[in-house]
Amino acid sequence: MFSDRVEQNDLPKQHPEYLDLLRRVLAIQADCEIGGPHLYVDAMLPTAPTQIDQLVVARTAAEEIDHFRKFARLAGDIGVDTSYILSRPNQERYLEAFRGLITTWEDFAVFGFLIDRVGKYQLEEFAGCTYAPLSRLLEHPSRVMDEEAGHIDFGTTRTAEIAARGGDARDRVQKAVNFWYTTGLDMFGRSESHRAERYRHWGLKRRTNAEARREFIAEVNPLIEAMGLEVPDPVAGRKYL
Amino acid sequence: MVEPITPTPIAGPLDDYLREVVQTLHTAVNQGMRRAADDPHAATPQIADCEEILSVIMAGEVKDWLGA
Repeated sequence: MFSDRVEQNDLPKQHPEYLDLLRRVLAIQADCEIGGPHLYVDAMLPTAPTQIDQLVVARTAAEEIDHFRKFARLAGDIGVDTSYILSRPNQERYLEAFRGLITTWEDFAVFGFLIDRVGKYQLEEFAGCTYAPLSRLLEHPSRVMDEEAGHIDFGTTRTAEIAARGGDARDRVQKAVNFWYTTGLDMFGRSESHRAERYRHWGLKRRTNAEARREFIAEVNPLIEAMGLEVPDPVAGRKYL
Repeated sequence: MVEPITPTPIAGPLDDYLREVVQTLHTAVNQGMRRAADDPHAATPQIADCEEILSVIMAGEVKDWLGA
C-alpha cells in the first residue's frame, strides 16, 4: 500500500496509474460540487418557501461553486482543465444523482439531508490521503467540510420539519427520501469495484465502497426513523450493488 | 517514468473569477439575511442579485467570463 506524502512537485516522479487516478478523482469531485447547484438553483431559488430559504439556496450554491473552484484549481494545477464541467448538461454528469432536476422543496431538503451527507463521506476519504494538496483542503479545520456540514444540518432540519407536519407533507417527504436514499447508496459505487481498490492501493481513498456505504446506512437509518419516516429498502431500485 | 506536469492556462484566471463571484454572492446573501431578519419580505433586491449572478454561472460560458 502506497503511503508517501506527495506534493505537486513530486508528481512527475509518480506512477502513471497514480496520476490517472488523481486526475480522475479531482475531475469527478469538481463535477459533483457544481452538479448540485445545477440541480436546484433554477427551480428552488425563485420558489423556496420564504426569503430566508431563498437566501439559503443562494448561499448553498455559492459555497458549492467555491468548492468547485477549489477542486478545479487543484486539477488545473496538474494539467486537468475542468472548465467544460461548468457548461456540461446535467445528463452528462459523472454521477446519476446529478443528472436530473430538483423542483420541489421536499427534494431540496432531502438532497441536503442525504446526498450532501454522501458527499461528506466522499470528502472524508481525502483527508489524510497521499496527495498532500488535496489532503490539506479537507483536513481539520476545513472550510469545505464545515460548509458541507451546514448543508447537511439544514437539509436534516427541514426534512424533519416537513415530516413532522404529517399528512400530505409527510407523504411527499417520504417519497423524496425513498428516491434519494436509493440514489445515495448507489453513489458509493459497486462493492466489488476494482478501481476503488486501486484508489485505496495508492492511498487516495481509505475505505472500501462497501465500508463507506455501511457506515452511511448506520448513520442515516436512525435519523430517518427518528423523523417518523420509513427506512427504504436498501436494495430495491439499486443500480450499483 | 517522468511525466511533465504543466498547469492549464485557465486555472488561475478561472480561480480568480469564481472567487470574486462567490464573494459577491456572499455579500448579497448576508445583506439579504439582515434585511429579512427585520422584515420577512425585505430581501427582494438581494435575491434578485443572487438570481442574476447565479444565472451567469449556471450558463457556464467560461470563455465570455474570462474574455478568452
